[in-house]
Amino acid sequence: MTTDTMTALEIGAAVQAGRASALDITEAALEAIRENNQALNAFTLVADTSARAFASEIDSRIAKGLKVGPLAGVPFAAKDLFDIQDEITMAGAKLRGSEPMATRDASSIARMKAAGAVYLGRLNMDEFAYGFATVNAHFGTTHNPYDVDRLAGGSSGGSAAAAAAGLVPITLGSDTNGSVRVPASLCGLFGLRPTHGSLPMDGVFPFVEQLDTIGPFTRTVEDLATSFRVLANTSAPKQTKRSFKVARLGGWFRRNGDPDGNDGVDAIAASFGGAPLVELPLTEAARSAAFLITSKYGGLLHQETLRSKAMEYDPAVRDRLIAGIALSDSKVADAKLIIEQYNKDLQSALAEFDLLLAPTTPSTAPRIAEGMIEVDGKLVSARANLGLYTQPLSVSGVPILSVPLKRPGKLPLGIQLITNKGQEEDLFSAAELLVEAGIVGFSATATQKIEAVS
Amino acid sequence: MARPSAPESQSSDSFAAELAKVDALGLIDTAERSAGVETNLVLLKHHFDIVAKALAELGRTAK
Repeated sequence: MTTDTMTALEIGAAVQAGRASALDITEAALEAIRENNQALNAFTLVADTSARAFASEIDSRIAKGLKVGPLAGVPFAAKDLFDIQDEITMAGAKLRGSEPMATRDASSIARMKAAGAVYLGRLNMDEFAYGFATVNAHFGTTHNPYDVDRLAGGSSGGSAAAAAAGLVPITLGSDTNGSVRVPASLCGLFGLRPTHGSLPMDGVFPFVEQLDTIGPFTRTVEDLATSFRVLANTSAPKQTKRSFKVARLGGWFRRNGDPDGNDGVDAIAASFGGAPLVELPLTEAARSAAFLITSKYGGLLHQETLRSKAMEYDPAVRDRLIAGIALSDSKVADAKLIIEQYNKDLQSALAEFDLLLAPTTPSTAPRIAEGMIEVDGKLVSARANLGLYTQPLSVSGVPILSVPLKRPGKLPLGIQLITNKGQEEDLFSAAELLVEAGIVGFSATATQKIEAVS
Repeated sequence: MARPSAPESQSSDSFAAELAKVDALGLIDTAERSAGVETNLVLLKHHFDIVAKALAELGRTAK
């Protein structure tokens, strides 16, 4: 039995049945972090003492015949912007190092722990979640487990790298403009941006509250669905949808990126019996509108801190925030007009189709040394442009699941499955069908080295 | 570091106004601002131009 290939549900079942102890599983995961984190730079803090204590408590409850949750003994870790009791919520920013420690867990963390999951530590991110690369001036760059010379994506890059490397089976991240979906695509994972407002945001350091969500990363659909249900405090549905009317998003989503993304969308469409192309003509403008709104409200959130600590920020983040503050209110109002119309267009498409498909990222993971991706034949910054396909959809508030294409021998690439608000279970059902069809699924990485635990 | 080109087109007045606003905010030393913040203001202007063009095509007035 090894934990690098075991799913969260397999670990939970083994621990509940007494075939493995939560403490042994925790020790195996801690060992894997010790072996791999130097190469990946995924964890910024490892909570080994509290993890061992919590795992022992789970084992003790099981020994006494007390009830434990579905994630009993399952290791998990969280992006560095979740409040964890007795830890400082750094949000990837060294300037927060003197802030007081959190006095309680974020509700999402509390729900994971209540389900029996064992918290193992904090995960690297772009400072204040502003970026798609996890290139952090203070905590360093997170490396992709498929090729450590490449970016893991961001801003939840530590979360993606840790799950893809098999260090833990579940990680939590946040997604404002694509910060779960982009690293999920680059690291070959299932990553969910849930319906905006569906998961608790208390105790999560904000970026742009109108757009912020939290979401899980996993290597299987079943683990993702279970994580979402734990976080949302819901149960599995009695019946699942097995037939979907699907459309492919055209125009912007098929113009700019890697042809493999379009091929992946087409393969998924074919497995559902075909899917017409639907164009949302305002997509490019919606992406720009999201860019402007993020800059403005992200900047305003930091205005007071910038007055006293501007030079302590990551320079790349600081400059974006300051430019955003200076953006006029009238331009933001115009951006909101675009978003209003774009959301109407998207809702019309979702009234006709159960699922919409689009590539998640315009490219596979770029090399860290280059930091650039090719879009429409031009080299552009990866940090700002990896969210080309995620950012316009973020403004709609609908749930979106990035699924990893099965690509033996190639770098990972994800496809977005998009549906109506509150219909996350349909996304899980559709993803399961795609796994059964052999089109989608996680592939082992080079850095999965967790030792056998029994 | 080279200074970015000032944006051209109808928004150049507002670009200058935004640069002035950055200075007025006093959040950052002007020498630092010239390299990093101006680059981002140019990028924001690029995105606003896309928004304004789309609004014009929709028959709505960009402010």
